[in-house]
Amino acid sequence: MVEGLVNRISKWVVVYPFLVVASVVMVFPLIWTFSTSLKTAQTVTLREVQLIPDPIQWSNYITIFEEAPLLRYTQNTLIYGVRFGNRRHIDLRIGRLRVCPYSISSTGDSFLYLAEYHDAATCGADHSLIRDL
Amino acid sequence: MGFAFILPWIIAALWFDLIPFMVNLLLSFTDYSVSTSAPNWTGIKNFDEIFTLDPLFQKSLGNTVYYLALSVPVRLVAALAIALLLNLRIRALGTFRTIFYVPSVVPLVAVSIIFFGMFNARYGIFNQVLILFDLPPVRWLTRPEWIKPAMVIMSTWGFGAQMVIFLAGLQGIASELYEAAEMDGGNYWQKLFRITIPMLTPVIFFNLIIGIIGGFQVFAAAYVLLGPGGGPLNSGLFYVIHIYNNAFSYFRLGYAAALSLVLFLIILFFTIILVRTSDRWVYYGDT
Repeated sequence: MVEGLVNRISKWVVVYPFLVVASVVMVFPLIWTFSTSLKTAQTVTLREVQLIPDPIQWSNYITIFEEAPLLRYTQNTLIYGVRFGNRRHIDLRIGRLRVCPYSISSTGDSFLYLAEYHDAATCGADHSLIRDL
Repeated sequence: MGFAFILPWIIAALWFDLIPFMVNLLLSFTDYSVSTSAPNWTGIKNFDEIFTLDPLFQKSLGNTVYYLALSVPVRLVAALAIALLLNLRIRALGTFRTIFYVPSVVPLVAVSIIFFGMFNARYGIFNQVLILFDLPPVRWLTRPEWIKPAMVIMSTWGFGAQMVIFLAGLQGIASELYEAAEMDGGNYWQKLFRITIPMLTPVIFFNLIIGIIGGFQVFAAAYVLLGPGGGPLNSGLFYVIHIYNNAFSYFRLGYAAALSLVLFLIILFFTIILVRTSDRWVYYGDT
């Protein structure tokens, strides 16, 4: 009985606080990315932390489709994922679909946009752009 | 009949693994570059250059070993620690497991771009936090001594895949062992060090080998963070980036093939050593 109590206390004093703090650290980069994806070219390099951007620029999500054939890239990735993914894990491949937040470029028809390594072609091309900011 | 069933995989293994390997082996003894039509046989010249003339071979190998000596243990310990906590009977277990696994679903290039922003010396979040605690800000990606720690932080974020393997291993440990320990009055730490970790050694061994092999092959993350130059003073020039530069920037494919072969032998060497020493510390049950 006493041991059960110790167990329960240690859960609430040690385990939960630790897990919550660690979870925040783990999720933070994703929140930060989403927040950045709503920023303007000016506010993206602001020094202070601005998790809720001001102004919120939802049009970034339209721009990425205008500047590059994202749907085409997605299609490429799906074909790749289904055809070659079975050498590893199909679900994992498809699960890896993520929109690169900075991909505002016009590098035409790079073959694989979102698949694991090959999105270096497009995200990597914007590398210089990010660096210039 | 059984052979017919595995034939597709045998063909794939021959076509996609064995033949490229043999071609690489042959090319490593030539001066093959894309521009010349036929590669010339040059004997061991490439290997001679690697070991005697190429300063970036040692530099990049040193960087790679430094990086994996830091990142592999850190990631193993983080994955194991979180797996142990997420193996307890706690609330919101599924939510916590999802949160810790999610980063390993993000493609490596996207991870690198996210962290590229976060490591920025001026507006990146890491320096914001340091300033918050009155610590001096760090130029993560432009100071030679901070590039590898930055890479380690980034790779540690993706420990989720290893954590899931640890979790599977933890759930495979027979509960009778813990019941027996409880009968004898064993506390949590005794159970951890006398039962959990010994029974988990095959999984630790697996993650260690996979981690070391992956560590030697680090490429995409460093390439996106630092570019092909490998950062200031080549401090972020990893071995595979060196191969890539030789192959696709200088078009010395023969030399790059030789570098690849050397890397293969290095990885083979480490793997054999690990496998050979594993029977001293890995427990596969009393056989």
